[in-house]
Parts: sequence; C-alpha cells; structure tokens
Amino acid sequence: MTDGLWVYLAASPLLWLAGTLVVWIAASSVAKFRPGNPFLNPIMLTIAAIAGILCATGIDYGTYFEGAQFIHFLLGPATVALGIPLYEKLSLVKSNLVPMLSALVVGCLAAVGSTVFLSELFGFAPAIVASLAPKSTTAAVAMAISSGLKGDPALTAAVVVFTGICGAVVVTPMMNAMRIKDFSARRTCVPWDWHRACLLRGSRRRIVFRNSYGTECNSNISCCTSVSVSQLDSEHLHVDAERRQAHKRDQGAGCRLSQWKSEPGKHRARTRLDAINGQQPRRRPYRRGPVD
Amino acid sequence: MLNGLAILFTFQLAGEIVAYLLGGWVPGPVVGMAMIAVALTLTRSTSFLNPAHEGTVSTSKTILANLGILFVPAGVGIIQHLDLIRDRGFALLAVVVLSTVATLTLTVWTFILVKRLSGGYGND
Repeated sequence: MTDGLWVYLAASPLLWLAGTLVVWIAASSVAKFRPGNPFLNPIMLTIAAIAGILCATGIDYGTYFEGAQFIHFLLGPATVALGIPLYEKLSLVKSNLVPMLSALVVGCLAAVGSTVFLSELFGFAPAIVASLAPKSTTAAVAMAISSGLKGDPALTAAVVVFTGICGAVVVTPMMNAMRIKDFSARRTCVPWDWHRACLLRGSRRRIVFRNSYGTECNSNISCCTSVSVSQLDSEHLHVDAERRQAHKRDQGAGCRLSQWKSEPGKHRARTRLDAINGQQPRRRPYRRGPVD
Repeated sequence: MLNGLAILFTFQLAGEIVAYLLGGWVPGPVVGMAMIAVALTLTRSTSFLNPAHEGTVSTSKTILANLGILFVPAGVGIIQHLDLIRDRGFALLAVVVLSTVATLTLTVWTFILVKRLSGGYGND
C-alpha cells in the first residue's frame, strides 16, 4: 500500500513542488542560526539537500524538474521585476553613469575573459567552458546565456551560486586590503547574487538586504544593458518607512541609548539607530574596516 | 497581486517577442526588464495598467525577496554532473576563485580611475 502511494506521489509534480518549498524554508531558517557564515547559504543548502534526497531515492532529475519547473518558470518574471529597482535607482545610475559603464565593460571582459582563459588552461571541454563563461551574471540571465551558447544551464546555475558565495567571502577583505573607501565603487563590482550570499553575514546586513532588493550588476555581454545598481546606493541602508516606524516602536531606539552600560552594547544601539535613520552606520571601533 | 503578475508576464511576453525579432542574442526577460524600466519613466499615472501600480511593486518585492529559491530547480541539475565534479572539482574551484578575484580587482579600479579622471571626486 505504501509502495503504491509512493509511486503515485513520485509521479505527480506536487511532491517535488511542495518538497522544494519546504526544504527552502527549512534551509533559510538553518542559515539564520549562523548569520556570519557565508557557506551556510540557503540556496546551497537547499540544492545539496534536494540533490541528496534525489540521489538517495534514485529519482532522476527529469522527474524532479516536472514538479520544480513551476518555480523555475518564475525566473522570467523575476528578471522583469528587476526593472523596478533599476528605475528606482535611476538618478544614482545617472550620476555615476560614466565610471559605472566603463567598470561594467571592463568587468564583463575581465569576468568572461578570465573564466574562458582559465578553463581553457585547465583543459575543460567546450560545452563546459560555455557553461562557465556567464558565471558572474545573476543566475536567471546566466542560464539564458548559457543555453544560448550550447552550454548546460544546470551547471551554470550551480557555478553562479558558488561564484556568489566565493565573491561574498573574498570581497570585503580584498577591498579593505586595497583600501577602497568609495562605497559606490565597492558596490559596482559586487553583482546582485553576491548580495544574496552576503545576506547572511550579520544582523546589520540582514536589516539592510531584506529591504534593499537591488538588481544585478556587472559582467556579462547582454547583461550590460540590464545592469543595475542598487549597489551604487552610497548609503545602502534603506529601511522602508513602515518598517522604520515599527522598528522605532519596538526598540524605543532613541530613548534607550543612554541605558546601555557596555561599550559594544552602546555601539550596537547606535548602529541600529543609524540604520533606522537611513544613515551609513558608524564604524565599530574594533572592526578592521567596513563590511560589504 | 494579480495585476502585478499580469504586468510582469505581459512585459516578459513583450520582451520575448522583441528578443525573437532581434534574432535571439539577448534573453527575452532582460528585454522585458529594460522595457518595464522605460515604461516606468514614461508613465506616471496610477492606473492599474501602469507598471508603477502598487500591485506590481509589491508583487515584484515579494518575488525578489525570495529570488534564491528560483535558482534551486536549475541548481539541482548539478546531479547530472557529479562525475565532472569528482574528476575536475579542484580545477573548477580554481577557475571560479581566480577569475572572481581578477574580475573584482579590475572592475573596482576601473570605476575609481574613470571617476577620478572625470572629476567625480571633486577637485581635492
């Protein structure tokens, strides 16, 4: 009887559609436990968990995708939806247009060029090189490009996610080592996906990125047009209005500042206040440099 | 919600049509993204057909806030490439890390150099 039920469910799209959603929610809450760890990325956790389940049960990818395709399909509208933040940040784009466009062109060439060069160097097959080439774009766009180049979108998606994690790990130490202080410059070179990966890098960042949904940036041929720029937002701390109020109400942030006894605690309260006021948070005295 | 979805799907459809007419070298959704940004700059009314309508904005925010899950179905496709990872995993890792570092360095310095040359930092 249970065997029959299993066969019946495994054949319907509902099982894997529901499964993906549930695993995603679980992975997101697991990732929240360790906000400082970019390797605990919910995308990676979900992929690993589902891939593990599929391998263990011997279900092939085609069967899984029949259910998951409904989620996959939303990549299209999601890409279109990126046009809205692009429009909202248009004035910032305009004021930094020339440096941004040149950085984008160079970034495109560098990303695609270095990837193709390195993967040729390591002797990968042409189809794999084509799948790796668009890895610095956001996954939605990269997958479209990869299939256009006769690559494998599945491999591209995985590599894009991993590039994002890698970028999130290296960007802050690198930028600090190079002593880059201009945040619009720092943000321009960080593609959108990396922001997703950055998302779990600390409570302050969580406040930021839950509210700032930007668009991707940087480095791809056709993506040059789509590029964008929430990153250029120099203060990059926009907590929207109602959240700001709710936050103030919850925290009583303004009046409680004097109650903090310890220095780090006081600083946390100040940082929160800065975030609420939409200002650049002041640097912690014991931090090496700003965080991206 | 429904208005928002209708607008997003319609722009994607329009983008796909334009992309097809252009010969398919640019993805349809990317064209749709450009079109929705242009449409927003052109229209300012609040009719439900306007992309700036509240429904569209809230729908977009919901989708974009959960963008990560959309990559999962494609990412799971990696199980078709397990042998590649087993055989060439380290080479793959090297490609990703090295090209990421190279891209970052070049991009940030181009931005700063061009901004400095065009006087973006003022005269000090």
